[in-house]
Amino acid sequence: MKNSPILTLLADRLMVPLLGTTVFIALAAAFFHFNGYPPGKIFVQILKGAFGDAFSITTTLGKTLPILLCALATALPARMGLISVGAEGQLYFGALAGTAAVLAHPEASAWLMLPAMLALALLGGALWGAIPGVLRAALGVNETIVTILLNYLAIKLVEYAVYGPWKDPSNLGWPATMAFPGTAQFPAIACDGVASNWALPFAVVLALALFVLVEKSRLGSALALLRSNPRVARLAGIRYAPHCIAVMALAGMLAGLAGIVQAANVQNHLQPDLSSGYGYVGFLVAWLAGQSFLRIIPLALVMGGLLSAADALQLFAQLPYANTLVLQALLFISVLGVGAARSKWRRA
Amino acid sequence: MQLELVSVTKRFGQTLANDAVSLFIGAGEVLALLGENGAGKSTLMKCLYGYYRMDSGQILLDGRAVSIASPRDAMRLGIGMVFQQFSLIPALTVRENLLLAYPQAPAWHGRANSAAILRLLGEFAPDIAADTPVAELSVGQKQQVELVKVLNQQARLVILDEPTSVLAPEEAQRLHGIIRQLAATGRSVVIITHKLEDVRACAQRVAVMRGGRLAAEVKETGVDERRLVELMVGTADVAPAVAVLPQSGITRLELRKLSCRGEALNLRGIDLQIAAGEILGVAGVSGNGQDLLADAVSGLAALDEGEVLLDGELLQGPVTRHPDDPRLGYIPEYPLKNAVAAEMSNSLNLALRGLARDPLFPDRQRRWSRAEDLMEAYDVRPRDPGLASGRLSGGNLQKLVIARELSQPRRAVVACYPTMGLDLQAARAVYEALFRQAEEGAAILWISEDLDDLLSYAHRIAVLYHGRVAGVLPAAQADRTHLGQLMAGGRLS
Ligand SMILES: Nc1ncnc2c1ncn2[C@@H]1O[C@H](COP(=O)(O)OP(=O)(O)OP(=O)(O)O)[C@@H](O)[C@H]1O
Ligand SMILES: [Mg+2]
Repeated sequence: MKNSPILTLLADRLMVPLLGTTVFIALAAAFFHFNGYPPGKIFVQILKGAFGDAFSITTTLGKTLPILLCALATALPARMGLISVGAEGQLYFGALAGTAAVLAHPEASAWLMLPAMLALALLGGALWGAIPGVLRAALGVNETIVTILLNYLAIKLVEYAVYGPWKDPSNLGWPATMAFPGTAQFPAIACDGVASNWALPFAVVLALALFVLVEKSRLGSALALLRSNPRVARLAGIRYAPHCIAVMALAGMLAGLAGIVQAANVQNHLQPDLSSGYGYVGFLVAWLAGQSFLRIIPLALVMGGLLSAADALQLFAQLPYANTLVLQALLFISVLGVGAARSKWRRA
Repeated sequence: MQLELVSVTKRFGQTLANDAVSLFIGAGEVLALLGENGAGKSTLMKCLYGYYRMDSGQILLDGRAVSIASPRDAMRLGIGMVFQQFSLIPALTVRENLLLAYPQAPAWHGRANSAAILRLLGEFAPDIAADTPVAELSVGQKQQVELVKVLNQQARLVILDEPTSVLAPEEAQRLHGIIRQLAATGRSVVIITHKLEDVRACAQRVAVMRGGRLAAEVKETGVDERRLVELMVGTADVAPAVAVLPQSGITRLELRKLSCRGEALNLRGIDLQIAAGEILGVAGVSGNGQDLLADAVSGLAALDEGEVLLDGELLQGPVTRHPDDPRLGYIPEYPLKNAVAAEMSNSLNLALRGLARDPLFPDRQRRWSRAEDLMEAYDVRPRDPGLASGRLSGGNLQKLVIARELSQPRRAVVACYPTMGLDLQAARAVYEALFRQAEEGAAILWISEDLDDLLSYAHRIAVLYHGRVAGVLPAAQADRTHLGQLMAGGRLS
């Protein structure tokens, strides 16, 4: 250790992201090259498609929000050792519950409508998260399996609702509810042609708050203790069951929020293709970020950009959408591979 | 096989765990590796076994330099190691466990190739039946199976890391016999230990480490034991002062008809009373319910019936349990598994007992400096509050748990093998901390397998046999034969 400690620390912190990104770019370039696309040109297109103009930034931010929330919903349980793949289902069920409020009283004023819709969405998400939490805590049922199954169930429930009782007849066969009234939308923010809504800064604040809570507070230590050794946690007066249920319910709320924003502000209806796999993308982002609430924020933005660029490329460069999946996989492999190689090298 | 370590150096961050250590191990030789806690014994052997990669130095096998980058390499060269934490699968039988670890295990196994796998078991541990599930074996027997597993891989050098610290005296003697037998068949053995009995019983040569270096090497034959102790810990005076039993006689900790279900056996109808200031020793062959008793009293295991009272107040019962009660100190066996969160810092592990009562944002500075003080007072090395506790040497981890549990005044203390893995001086410090708690009025429930220590320091001794209390004797009236009878299931005559 001849270098100054600060430099060493900085190099330590930046090495995995920088090296991971480099490896990713190299792999992606090779992939495009061997598929007959000029990598340089494609990279420029991707950047343009993600952040090139007001429209693409708007799209990117729109995708960043659900990814961010779903990543938080994955990372929080992971802090106590729970592997939840359930953000997708919680997103759907949260949207379903929130929509119930809208359909019940579509004429309500914004002052009533917004809080009611939000509260029901959060409750719905919490319920969908708490089910695997309770099963885990009470019966030791594997939460990963339960969350996956509940994803299918939530999607089916939404399909049932919008093909059945909640279908708006004036849609002429298109499966969706009636359009959400203006009172049931999160207030918009716009700046230089870039449009978003207040849920986005709120989600960022949530991420920061979770960061502080988990890194600095007693609760963070409690979660880490439960992950590391639940038996020893008992000696500290920390019980597995209530934490497990609370954490899963809170995670569900986060994803549920993503769901209702998606239905109310983005699609303006509840419809079957509510999410383009945001729950799963969020899962990837959380693991890419090593469950750090701070690192999740930029990574969600990058992933949002990648997805919105994929839409653009598909439209304008006729690049099949499957390429995005390949890119996601390459990103995952690069960052995790570099991280694993580093910890192995460190141990020896 | 002759083996030579030449100038082995291994560093962990700032800690120099091994500092240019050179060591020779002859064919058919039993070498005892002694040294205080944190001296670097386990690290040196893990370098040899390829678990750690040394920073510099050489390993010569029969005079030829070899490179060992992983345990697999070590195994290929005939070097095997038995750790304290066994890697057997409890639900499988001895035969199946051996089969799993057998080199080039056949995909299909029947009587014919099973014979090869069981040959060494028959040779070294003939009293273990191949079809017993491992869960039903005693600790000593598990260790023997683990040893046979290593021998099955054609090991010519076997490293044992503190093998006797978990064994009852009879089991330790059995192991000594096996070690002598290994040496007689031309295999070399390195035994890391803190116990002089081990040295006496089977070592031909002794190497003593201190502070990462080789401090001394002596031929065992004819070495003075006081001298050995001195070489190990720097002083020969290691007997703790005895705790005097106060006369008051008020009952502080009471176990009433305690019954509780365990994995291997159940506790049934345990009635015990411990007065303020009294040290009640619990003797018994390991596996007779000791760990369950400790968990039940400290509130980690669910009680089926009965209750634990502290000063007449309900502490643990079938309905409510209070494992985090600050009046109770608990030193469980296997601290790495049962007492600390291995990935978390020493500072947090030391603050752990009060965690749920801390403010939302705890004062980390204070926690840190308190950890520094405790680590200083209980001689936990390296004195780094930020280090993950799992990185401590076995003995230093034990000291960390002792520091947490005994640094505050307690009303009752449950201590399971509290000196396990400690060097003699550290063991003395632990006994003194325990006796100080007693002198300040705590009731001590002390589980141990060391009859000599129990007889010297406990006030009364209870014997646990098959989950029941077979008898309770005042230590003054007890002796080894008497206790031995009770431990074997006999009755008081
Ligand atoms: N993985 C690790 N990371 C950091 N430090 C370590 C690690 N393993 C061991 N050390 C440090 O190296 C030193 C030697 O440890 P080692 O485990 O070899 O001691 P030991 O002689 O076996 O002691 P004991 O008798 O307590 O088991 C100690 O100071 C320990 O804290
Ligand atoms: Mg050791």
